[in-house]
Amino acid sequence: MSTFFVTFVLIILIQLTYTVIPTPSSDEYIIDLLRHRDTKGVSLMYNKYAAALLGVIMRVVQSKEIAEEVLQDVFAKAWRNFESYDGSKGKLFTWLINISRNAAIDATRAKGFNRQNQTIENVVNNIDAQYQTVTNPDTMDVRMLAQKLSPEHYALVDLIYFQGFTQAEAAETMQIPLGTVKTRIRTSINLLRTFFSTVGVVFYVFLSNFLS
Amino acid sequence: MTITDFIASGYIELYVMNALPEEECIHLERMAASYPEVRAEIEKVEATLHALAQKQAVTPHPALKDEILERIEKSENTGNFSHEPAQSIAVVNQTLHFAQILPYVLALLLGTLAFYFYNNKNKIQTEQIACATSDKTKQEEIARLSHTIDILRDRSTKFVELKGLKLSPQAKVMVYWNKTTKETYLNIADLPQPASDKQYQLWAIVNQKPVDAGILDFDFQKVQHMKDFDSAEAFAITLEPKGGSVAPTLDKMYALGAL
Repeated sequence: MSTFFVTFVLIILIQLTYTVIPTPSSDEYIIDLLRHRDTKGVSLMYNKYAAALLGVIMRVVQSKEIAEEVLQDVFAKAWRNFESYDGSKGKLFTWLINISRNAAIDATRAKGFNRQNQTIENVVNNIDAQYQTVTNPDTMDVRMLAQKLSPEHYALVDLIYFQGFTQAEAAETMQIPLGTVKTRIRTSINLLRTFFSTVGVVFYVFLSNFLS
Repeated sequence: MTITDFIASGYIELYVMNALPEEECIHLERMAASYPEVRAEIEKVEATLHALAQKQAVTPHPALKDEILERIEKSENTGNFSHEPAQSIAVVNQTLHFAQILPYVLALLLGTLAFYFYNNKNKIQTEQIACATSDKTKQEEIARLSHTIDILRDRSTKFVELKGLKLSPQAKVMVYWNKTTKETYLNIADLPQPASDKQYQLWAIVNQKPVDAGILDFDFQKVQHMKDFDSAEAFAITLEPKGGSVAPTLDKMYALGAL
């Protein structure tokens, strides 16, 4: 008798934990809600992506207050223009990052920043300085990656992916020929891919020990 | 340019990074639609860049979510955008929530099963108790019967045949009296059916006086245990009002036998 009740109580407890601890919703579910103009979709999308998007915005806009204002605009835009999201072109997160990057750049333009007058040295140094101010332990990895593995490769990803530079702008800043941008960005992404794969982390630890 | 070259060219990376001019985007999207390898590579690049973006996540201040939702609700209420009928949302919810309610359905099912088994177990327990009880009565019955047989086989048991009298000459009752244990047993061989308000009563004649020896069960099958006697000269059966009498009704004597 007691066995059955213990089992029953356990199942109920497991259910309760599932209800209390939120699990990220699937993109399909979020997209369906948004297509049907259900604001619950915004709430779930926020839970899943808001922190990452704020991180993306803060690569451009350093002030957290301003970045959070930009993030508000991003969600408002995503909600308003959701019909322009095309799943065949890319993931929801990619689309949101694009909106965030553009919104962040617009915000700096409005504040009169000039992004073009950067040299390769201060781009690389800037990345390092910016990551030091962010108190996320995960960014330690990114800093180590940027510093040790290849600062030039990482800087190019940062300029194009997070700062929204065009190929020409990036080539000029990094002082490389325009044609090299594509091949170097390919190499950079491959480095990152190795870094993020589990085997890659082991390899990276081995490599960093070997190098230092 | 082969597909492998195209994948290695860096176009895909720039496309995912949103850094490709419009016309090149269209070309790449066409390639992705025709070549699954290109599609797969796009997804790989996306996964890598998403991981990079997640790595630098910064937690927004806790109230931001409500501010955003409030702003969106407000823009909805002012009628800036068209609404789909609410019904379609319900449909979406129905189809999508199946996976989410599945655990609850399972829990309910298991709960019901647990309850069912628990109930069943109680029922079985009750039956078991009933079985044990009936088993106990059976054991007692067997003990009683084997004792009766022992008495009947005992050499010190005397067999007394009570023969019918005038009222029913064919009547016949056997009485078994054991000298040693003083026990008296009785078996009806033949007696007329008594009226429903009457019962037969056995009497032992001790020192020429009738002593009550117990009421008879009107059952031909049974060897009945009557009262014990140290000694007796004879046994008699009379028909008495239900419950028996203190003294025998002598004109209703049905059978008599001397030791």
